[in-house]
Amino acid sequence: MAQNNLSNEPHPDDLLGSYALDALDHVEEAQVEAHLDGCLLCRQTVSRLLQVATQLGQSVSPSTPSPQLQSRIMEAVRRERGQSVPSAAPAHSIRSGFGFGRRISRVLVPVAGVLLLILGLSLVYNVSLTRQVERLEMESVSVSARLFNFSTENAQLLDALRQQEVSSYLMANPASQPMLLESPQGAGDSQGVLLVSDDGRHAILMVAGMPPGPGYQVWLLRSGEKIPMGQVEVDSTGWGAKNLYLPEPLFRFDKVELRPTAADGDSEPSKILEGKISSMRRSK
Amino acid sequence: MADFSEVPDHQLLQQITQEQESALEALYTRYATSVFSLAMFMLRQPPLAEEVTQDVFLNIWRKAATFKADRGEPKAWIMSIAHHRIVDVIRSRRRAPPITEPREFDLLELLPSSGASTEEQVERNLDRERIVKALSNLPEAQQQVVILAYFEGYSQSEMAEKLQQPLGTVKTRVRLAMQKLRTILEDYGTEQS
Repeated sequence: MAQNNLSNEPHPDDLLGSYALDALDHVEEAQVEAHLDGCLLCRQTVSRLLQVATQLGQSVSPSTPSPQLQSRIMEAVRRERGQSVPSAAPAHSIRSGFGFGRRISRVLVPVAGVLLLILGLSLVYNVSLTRQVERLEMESVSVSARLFNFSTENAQLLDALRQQEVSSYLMANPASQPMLLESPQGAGDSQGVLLVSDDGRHAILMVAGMPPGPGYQVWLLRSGEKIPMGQVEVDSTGWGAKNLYLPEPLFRFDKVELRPTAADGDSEPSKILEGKISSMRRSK
Repeated sequence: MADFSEVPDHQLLQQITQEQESALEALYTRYATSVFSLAMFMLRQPPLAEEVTQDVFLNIWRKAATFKADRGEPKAWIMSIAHHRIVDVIRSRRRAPPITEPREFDLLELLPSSGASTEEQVERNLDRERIVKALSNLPEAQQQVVILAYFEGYSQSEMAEKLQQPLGTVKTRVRLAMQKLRTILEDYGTEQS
């Protein structure tokens, strides 16, 4: 690979063509995107390669969509804006954006970038954990006295590995839906993403910029009901993540909230993050 | 409705960020056929192609503010959103049990259709001829990876597996093919101007 003179980061020459053709996996795509942010030369190359891809796309035999499609799209747009919709044919279901793709909304761009980075890190972490597990297994055979301790550690690592695998699967699955969690009234720098499986039974919560504290309780809310979903711990940088296995599909609830974990007898702490589940769409 | 025929694409995107629905309608008028045609070509199912087209324009509405002019023209951005979405659908269907046998791609499918043509149709046919000619100029192995990647939605690693070639070989073929296509198509552009 050639070198970027400004940052000494190698140019991903081998990946740019595939990037323009959408032939990269999520991890490679995230690597390229991260590089493009800081490399004018590669941005120019990609811009020209995307022209080639566009020409490929425009070379196919022309087909015309049904005349109703435009009005369906405009109805969906009006629905999103919360305006009243003139009566017309029922709109088709709308799938959520582009998963972890490259063209993301102004809010989801950084979030998707973070998700992809996490996916990459978790894959690397998986490999590392697998190696650790293998090493522990060999030691436990040769040193029988330490077998018990190692097997306990082993089980924990396997559990962590399993959690990482499940998380990686959920992140890699294009059917998963992201939901943004934000500070109420935009106060504070905390933010979070809830990545929800297609059936709404499993989700990964990731939070960043959280104030230091003992932990945060995750709550699911719907009319007159408030269900605790466990606690997410954050590190000194304010980062934390948690797998949530839900008692019933998430789509049946109205809101997700995070509040600092309260000691017994304390009054209810203020919300740090919240997200409206109703803004998501069921894909099943 | 205002006349948007002279308004450049990037201005329409700007207006969409200000929630002007008529700007989205103008972009739809310009690009719906291209997006839907690509979806139809790759997915072969009209209802699915319409659903994807709807997704694409809804996402243009939601994400117009993320358009970065230094990564290409609005047309390229829109077509890449469309292609990305179509590839997502193809890959998720590929993971599901196959309903039909996968089709074999034929370069001839891209050849221009005959019959009465409007000016736009003629121009489009010329574009298609250029692409077919450019693809035909590539060595067969490079032609194959471009077709598998772009029109059939294969990733690099999936192509390596399908073609039983090392991943590095596939990467090199894609890189060389795209460089060559770029040069050929840019030369056509220069000749035209």
